[in-house]
Amino acid sequence: MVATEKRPNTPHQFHFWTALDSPVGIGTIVRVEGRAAANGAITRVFGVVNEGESYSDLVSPLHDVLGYDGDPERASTAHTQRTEIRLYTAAVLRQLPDEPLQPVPMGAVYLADDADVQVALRMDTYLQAGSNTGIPIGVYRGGGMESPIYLDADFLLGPEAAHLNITGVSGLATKTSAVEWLLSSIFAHFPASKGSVAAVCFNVKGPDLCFLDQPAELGDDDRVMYERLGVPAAPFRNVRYYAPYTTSGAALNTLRSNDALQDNVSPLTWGLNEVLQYAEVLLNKDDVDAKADALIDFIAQRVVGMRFSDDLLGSQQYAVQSFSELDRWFKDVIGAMESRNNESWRTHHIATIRKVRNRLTNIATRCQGLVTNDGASSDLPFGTFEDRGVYVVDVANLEDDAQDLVFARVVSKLREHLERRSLGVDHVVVFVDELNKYAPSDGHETYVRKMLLDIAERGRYLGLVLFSAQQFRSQVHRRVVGNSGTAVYGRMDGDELATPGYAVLSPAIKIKLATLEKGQLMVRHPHFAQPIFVKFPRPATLTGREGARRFPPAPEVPFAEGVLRTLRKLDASITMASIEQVFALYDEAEVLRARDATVRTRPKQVKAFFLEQFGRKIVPRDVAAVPTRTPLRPTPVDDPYGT
Amino acid sequence: MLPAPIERALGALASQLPDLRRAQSGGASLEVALGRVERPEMASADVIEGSHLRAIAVSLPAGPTVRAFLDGIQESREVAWIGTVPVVLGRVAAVVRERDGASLRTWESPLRREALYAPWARLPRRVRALVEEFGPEAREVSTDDGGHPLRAMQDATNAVKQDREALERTLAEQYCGAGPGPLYVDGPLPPGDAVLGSDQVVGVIKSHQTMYVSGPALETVLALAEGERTTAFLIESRHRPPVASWYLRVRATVGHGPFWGLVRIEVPRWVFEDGGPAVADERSQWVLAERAPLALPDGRWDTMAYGVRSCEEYLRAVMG
Repeated sequence: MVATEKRPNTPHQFHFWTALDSPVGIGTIVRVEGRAAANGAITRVFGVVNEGESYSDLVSPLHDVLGYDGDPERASTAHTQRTEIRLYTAAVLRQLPDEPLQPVPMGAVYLADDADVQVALRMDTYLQAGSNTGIPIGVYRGGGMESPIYLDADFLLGPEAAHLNITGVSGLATKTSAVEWLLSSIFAHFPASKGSVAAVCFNVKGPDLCFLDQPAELGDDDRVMYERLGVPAAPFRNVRYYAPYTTSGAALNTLRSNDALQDNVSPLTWGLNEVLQYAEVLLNKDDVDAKADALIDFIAQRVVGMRFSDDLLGSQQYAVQSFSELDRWFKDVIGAMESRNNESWRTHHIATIRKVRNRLTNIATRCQGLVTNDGASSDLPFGTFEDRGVYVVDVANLEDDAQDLVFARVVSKLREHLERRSLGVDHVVVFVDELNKYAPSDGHETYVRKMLLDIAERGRYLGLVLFSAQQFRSQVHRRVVGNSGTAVYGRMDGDELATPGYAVLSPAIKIKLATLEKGQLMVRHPHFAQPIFVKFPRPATLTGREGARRFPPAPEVPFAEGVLRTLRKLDASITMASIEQVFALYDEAEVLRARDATVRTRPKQVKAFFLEQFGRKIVPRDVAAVPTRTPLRPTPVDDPYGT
Repeated sequence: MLPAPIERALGALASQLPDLRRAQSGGASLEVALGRVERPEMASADVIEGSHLRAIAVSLPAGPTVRAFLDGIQESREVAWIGTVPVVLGRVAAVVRERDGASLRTWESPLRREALYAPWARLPRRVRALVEEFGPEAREVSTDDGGHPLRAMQDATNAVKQDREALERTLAEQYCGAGPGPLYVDGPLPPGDAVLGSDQVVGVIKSHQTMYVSGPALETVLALAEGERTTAFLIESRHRPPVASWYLRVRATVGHGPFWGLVRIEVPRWVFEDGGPAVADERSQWVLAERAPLALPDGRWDTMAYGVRSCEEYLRAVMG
């Protein structure tokens, strides 16, 4: 250790030099043993190296130019090297005893071993037998040592603190991989005494989270790390996928459309009523005033999903369940007002009615595939969430507005159920990528941002935990990231590191962050006085890219084939020939309504139930007339639809 | 701050000798403060390579041959006065810095010595006994100073210098006796069987208070071009057996005086006699190979090898 008047030791940092071949580097954790006792005890100080310098006794670069006659080649092959130093600065992680807090005493500096790392990061306070709340996040590798690093579940999933935010450049899969790994770790180590836990993941881009139940090929290093950290090197066992339909309604709008993976994929569809409850998410506040709000409330409470009649509309009875029916209702109301030359109806001005019709029609366009035509919904299993279950909501192919709507409603429902303790689990981790889109630091207030702020600030009391990710932390609302008890950083962009939020990091830490290898993270956690670098294993689940290669998405199919494909998930024996009449006799909306009812009901006689939805116009063929029921090979091989 | 044994001894003396006055040890050392400059002089030497002194170009070396460098340092400071008698703290050390790849590391252990120097014979016997009781060595300085206190300090400084040379001699003997490889000694070759019996040692003298040439030979020396040496001559002294020596210009004098980059090299006499001019060429190449890296910011960098500066820096660091 060295301390000079110009470079003194303080209570928060100290300096030491090493041999040139020492394994010490930026991020290495070290232990200082004080030379003299203070208050009867030898002070022990733990620190993490956050800056390093190297220099020689060369006073001016010009001296070397002179010495080697201006020939760099001669300098590079010099037979005598100048005396050189490796001088490191370490930030104090912990001093023992804690009081009195004094400048770091002079003493010998040692590389930290496993036990030192535990003490240095205060992990000893939550890794005690019987009250162990440690969640492995990776291994610290420094100075030739390799030590497991644990987060405190009480500070990761609440109630002491909660939430995790991860930042990193795109393209390295670090953010997604880190969250997948950490969820595995949580599922393996979350103490039973703390209750049950599940995860809801929003897949917002590509196939990132589409293969969480498929095993990845792991290298020996990864397997060793899994074993060291006590996490099974296996994919998630209980994963459910939810995706809305495509705009045509024929197939689910997800990249997890390979036939071999359809067992746990369900439609995510909502009735018009559910959508209207969250219309605020989609409507421009500046555009929709109090009058419009009142009309929307009237429609949601009095029109949608119930029988509606009015003197203005004569004897006409309405049972609005879909956007098209709602539009027909609007048309009739406006037509009747115009024909009677009425300027208002039930206190709503005709201009307001026209405006609301226009805005709601717009929503229908933007949320096609998400809203059912019969008003019924196919939703996440709120109330029956399973412990260690992962629920992936695939909104990657939706319009931005529709993504917002899905996000707002799902999270609101989670919150409602957690408040009532009726979700099925005690804690839910909600993973949202691209946080700078949902909770930007600038721009006007949005419903989604308000909701994220609410989770960030109050979710820990409910067990609603936000795991969020983004490329640029500086562009995310500061209260969202500020309330994340744990912050994780992957490889960072230089411009991002130049923003004021990173001013507390030393230049050396910044350069390390800018050059981090895949699989390495810098972690800040309430128990850690300084950020720590860790390495985590590759997730045991298929990456999106590899999954899409191994399980290519099913090709887009015509409407009829799409409907058949959905029904065959319930009964693989159904053939195109047995249902093709409906496509000739009914419009697509009616077919979809029948299909959705069948999917929701999951009847034993799938084909019969489906056909029954069309009333008497169609009589199911006599099943007995089919000579033999030959199991079909999986689509799209050969001709799976029969003739 | 003084070394602990010295501090204890002076404290004890002060408590028993009312006329003892402590002197601050800060400021310049006596070597600097006394400002004594040796008077330059000419000395004669017989040319042993050819009939007269002439310049010979030395081909540039391919790489370094020297394995180790030896140098010592000294420091003298007045620390007390007992009546009119000054007491001087002398600290000396010497080290060999040896090549390990391209780096320099300390060979075995450096030699160090510190003592209180004074004309103790002029003081009551119990004073010296009291000093030695507390640990520091009391070194006798000549009383032949005519009673002039500054001369007493100068004599003390000379005694310190002799002790430094003694350490250098001891270390040179140890290194040459061990025989690991060529040794570059800063200064004249110290007397000693191992050193003067070795063909792996050169002494490199940077100062030229004594010139061994005069007249046309002096002109030849001062006109040497970079990479040229003179023919060899024999230096005889009553302090040691004769050695072979020659001048060598290690840096061009462009823009500088004639002593710029001029060194004098010494090798044991028998080595030159056995090897002849080839030995002088080869030993000159040893020295020329050490021109880089520069020993800057030391003011003597034109003649000082980096390895010698490394010795001095090391010793300053360990001496504190």
